Amino acid sequence: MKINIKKAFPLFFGIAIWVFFAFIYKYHLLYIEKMQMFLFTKDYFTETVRHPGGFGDYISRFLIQFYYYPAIGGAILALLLCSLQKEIFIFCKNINGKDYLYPLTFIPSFFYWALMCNENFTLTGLIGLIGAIWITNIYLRNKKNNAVFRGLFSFLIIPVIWLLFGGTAIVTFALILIAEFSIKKKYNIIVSSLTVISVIVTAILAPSVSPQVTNSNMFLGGNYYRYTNIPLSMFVLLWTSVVAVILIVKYIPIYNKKRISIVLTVAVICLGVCFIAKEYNKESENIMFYIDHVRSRDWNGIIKHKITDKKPSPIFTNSINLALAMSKNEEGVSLLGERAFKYYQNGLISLISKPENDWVVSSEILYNLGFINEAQRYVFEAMVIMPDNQTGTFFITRLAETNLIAGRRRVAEKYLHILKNTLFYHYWAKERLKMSEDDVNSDPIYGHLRKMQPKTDFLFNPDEFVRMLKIIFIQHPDNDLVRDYLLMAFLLDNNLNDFASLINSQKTIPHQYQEALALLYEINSIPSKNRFIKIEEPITKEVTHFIEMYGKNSGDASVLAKYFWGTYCFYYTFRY
Amino acid sequence: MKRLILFLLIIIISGCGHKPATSSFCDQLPEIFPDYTEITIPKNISPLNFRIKGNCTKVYAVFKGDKELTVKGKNKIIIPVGKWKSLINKKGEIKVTVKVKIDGKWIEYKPYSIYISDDEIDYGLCYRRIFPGYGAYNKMGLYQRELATFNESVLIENTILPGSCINCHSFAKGDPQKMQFHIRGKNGGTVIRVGESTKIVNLKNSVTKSCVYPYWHPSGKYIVYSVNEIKQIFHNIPDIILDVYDLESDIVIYDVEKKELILHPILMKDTQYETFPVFSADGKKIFFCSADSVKISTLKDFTEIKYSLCSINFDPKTGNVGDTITTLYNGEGASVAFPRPSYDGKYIMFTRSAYGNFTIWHKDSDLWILDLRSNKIRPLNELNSDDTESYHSWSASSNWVVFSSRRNNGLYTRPYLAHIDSNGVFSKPFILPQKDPDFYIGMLQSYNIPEFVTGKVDFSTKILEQPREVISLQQN
Repeated sequence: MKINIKKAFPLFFGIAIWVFFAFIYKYHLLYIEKMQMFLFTKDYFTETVRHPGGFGDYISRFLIQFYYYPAIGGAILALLLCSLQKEIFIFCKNINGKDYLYPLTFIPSFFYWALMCNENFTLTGLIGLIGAIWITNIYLRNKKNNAVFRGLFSFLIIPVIWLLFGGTAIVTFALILIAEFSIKKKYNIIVSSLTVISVIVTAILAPSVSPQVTNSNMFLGGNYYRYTNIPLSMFVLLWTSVVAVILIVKYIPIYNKKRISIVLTVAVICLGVCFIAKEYNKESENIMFYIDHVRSRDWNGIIKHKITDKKPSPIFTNSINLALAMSKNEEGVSLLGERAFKYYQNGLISLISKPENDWVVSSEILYNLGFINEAQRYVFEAMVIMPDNQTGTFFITRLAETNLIAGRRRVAEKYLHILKNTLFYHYWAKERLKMSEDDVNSDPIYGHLRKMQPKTDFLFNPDEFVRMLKIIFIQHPDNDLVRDYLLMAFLLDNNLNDFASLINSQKTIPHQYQEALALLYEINSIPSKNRFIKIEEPITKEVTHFIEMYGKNSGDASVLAKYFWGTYCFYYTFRY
Repeated sequence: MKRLILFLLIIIISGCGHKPATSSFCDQLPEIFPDYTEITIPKNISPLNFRIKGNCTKVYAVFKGDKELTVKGKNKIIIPVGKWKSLINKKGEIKVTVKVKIDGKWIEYKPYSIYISDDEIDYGLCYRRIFPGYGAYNKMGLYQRELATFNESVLIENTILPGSCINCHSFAKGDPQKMQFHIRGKNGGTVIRVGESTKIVNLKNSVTKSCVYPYWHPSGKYIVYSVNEIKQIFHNIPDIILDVYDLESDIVIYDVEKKELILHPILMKDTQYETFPVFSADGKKIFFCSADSVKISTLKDFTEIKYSLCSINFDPKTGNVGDTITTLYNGEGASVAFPRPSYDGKYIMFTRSAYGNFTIWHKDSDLWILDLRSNKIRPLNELNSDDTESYHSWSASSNWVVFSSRRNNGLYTRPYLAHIDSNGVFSKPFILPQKDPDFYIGMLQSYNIPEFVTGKVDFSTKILEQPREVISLQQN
């Protein structure tokens, strides 16, 4: 069966993109969606489009809101990347490029696919690039060979593209020159000169249009990259690849035409896969998984998630510990005490990261513990330090909640009214606007957290997390989550005495807490009859066995790890 | 066909001028946002567009002064700028009648008045827009807003110097030709403009902390600064979120012409926190706030920091200060901050709260006034609300004030304007008008340090390319 590459390649390309982003890389899409807030208001529109490249930003953000459903987000990316390839192909066709070099037109799309694996590259650049090439195709398709029309068009289109889409105007410039010298020809020097003049005039006038940004930001215009220190070379390389592909397709002579399409298809796919493999960031995807699941309170999903890293980053352990603490087994016992040490732990940092390392998951932890003001502060700081100055729905929804819980209703309503202007948070906001104070009090989450807020004031110090837990525990001894965190904090710090003094009031003691107590009894040589808490026999035997093995193997961690990694005894003795 | 078109045209035109028939009267003022009922406005203020609170399908408003203006809308009244200007172009009173259509019926509310003062307000306001956050910051900038229109333009945004913080803008009696502001961060400095000359100076020195809160001498020859080491603390109960206090603070005087920072030991005592310095209207005194320094070890210690309003003589010829500090007001168990003398020399307005000096985070912070002629002090009940009132500033004529208030929702600071009459009584304050009455709902930044300016501020960011000038120190 003869395969038509021109039909098959784009189809499989599009499906591959969709599958990748909708399923393999979906948490990136969910994260990106939450880091912005697209509003259907006039002010949002004017604020977004008023700077050069702003129109591209507006379209980009409009489309990104649909990442709320990764299947749709994946489809959008597939459509855009396929459109990029198609526009390049159309341009090549219009300048009578060699048909059999068709597979080369996929290179820029593969390149951009790889860039999209980094959440800091926005859709604006991709939309801008498509727009820039599309406009040039309109120019090419125009049958008029009238030099006046061409001159006017090419003079005006550069600043228009820059104002609409930003720096991709430079691609339009390059493509117009190619078009002039390869196809149009009549008066092409005059037309090309006008294009060059247009670029120069745009560059001279740019600072007056966009005076409040750095030079590279002014050149690019739109928010192609979320940080102000833009990797300009990456975009230059990308745009150069578009031009290079077009020039190759047009001018490079190829002699063996028959097999070249197949060879090129394979080569381009291999190159593309290499690009994507290089940019694919599994760790980042995992972090975004945890952020998504912690926020949506899918504790089971977190617990079931497989971690392949032997020493995962603190965000992973913070998330797992929170999920375990928020979950109970059939006997109503906290899973944190049951099996925390079956996961990698690394001291107090496993419970909560320092704010300078992570505001986001830490905010969730503080929120659930009842430190509502601090949770609000963390989420506000996280929002404020977002590199592209966006206010994401992730933050605004949580700010609405913390203010609702704290009784700062007017502020909560402000955020909720703003969220009503979004597509996917409108209903969520509306439901909360309807809530009376009684409704908040009786809500299982809000009501509980409202009760667990500190009763008397104190100053929060993130460097003294254990002391903070103690303060709030004294005010709320019925806060089981705080109790669990305190117990874990003592265990992580090898502080068995404080652990034991807190454990007294427990009714059913989880497995690993019993193990820790048993270890304490053994260390202090407390005979069975004097042990104030009864430990289950198998647990006692396990601890005794560990101590024996420790002695027999001269404390060799690598030997003991085979049998005891995942027990508190091992953590206590060797840490992980 | 022609007859049909003519008939339709007649219907449309007659509909345009059609006054809705009132079904019922309500003896209360209409609930509008912003609240522009019974306020006093200058002749050069932008239209007071408003929205009806609650649900309605149509609204109809008649503004009756010397002329009459009718405006209709769905639930908002958006007044045409040109017609508004001709309505308020002389002193008088406008009676506003509002009718609202609810469930198919028109309800007419009790009319309210808007009083037009003969006292013109300054050209505009200059303020910083910033998130009402904690330690971190992102995009911020200095903006100016022309009061007669809705035009807001950027002076400078920190996007031009990524990572920088722009703050403490100040003008000599609102004069845009005499202004200063700080840029903190890499390539930072203090921008000081005097007439055509704009320089960036590096006020950092080996002796004092950073120069923070500025105030110009009326001559433009000096700027008095506080030098502060500032710290934030974070509370954990719903009623209060954040506090800011000084670990150290002193007062220094900068001679603009000589580029010299003058240090006077009497204003730099270790046992005192001296801050918020301002020159008197005649330039012969410095008013400032001072508190006994407190060793902070518990939460309660913060509540012990209470500032008094003080003054010291100042010699504009030499830059020297007097030997004696006079306490004008000790706060009566509370704390004073942000003294701002009126330019006519009659008053000092200040904020008063239970403790401390960073009053924007104190719900109990209110505006008070000291009459310098009679030495009487009173709270400005006509301006204050149940929420925070904080930073304030006078117009050049001293007939108008602008102040920061969080009365809308308790967090986002908005600028309010009010008139002061010859008896020292203030009119009901009103929020800075916006083209869309719902503007403030969606606005996620606060208005910080609103200052009047008497003309358009012309500022080019090219100044940032200049080298930072070094200053000298004069220690007395």
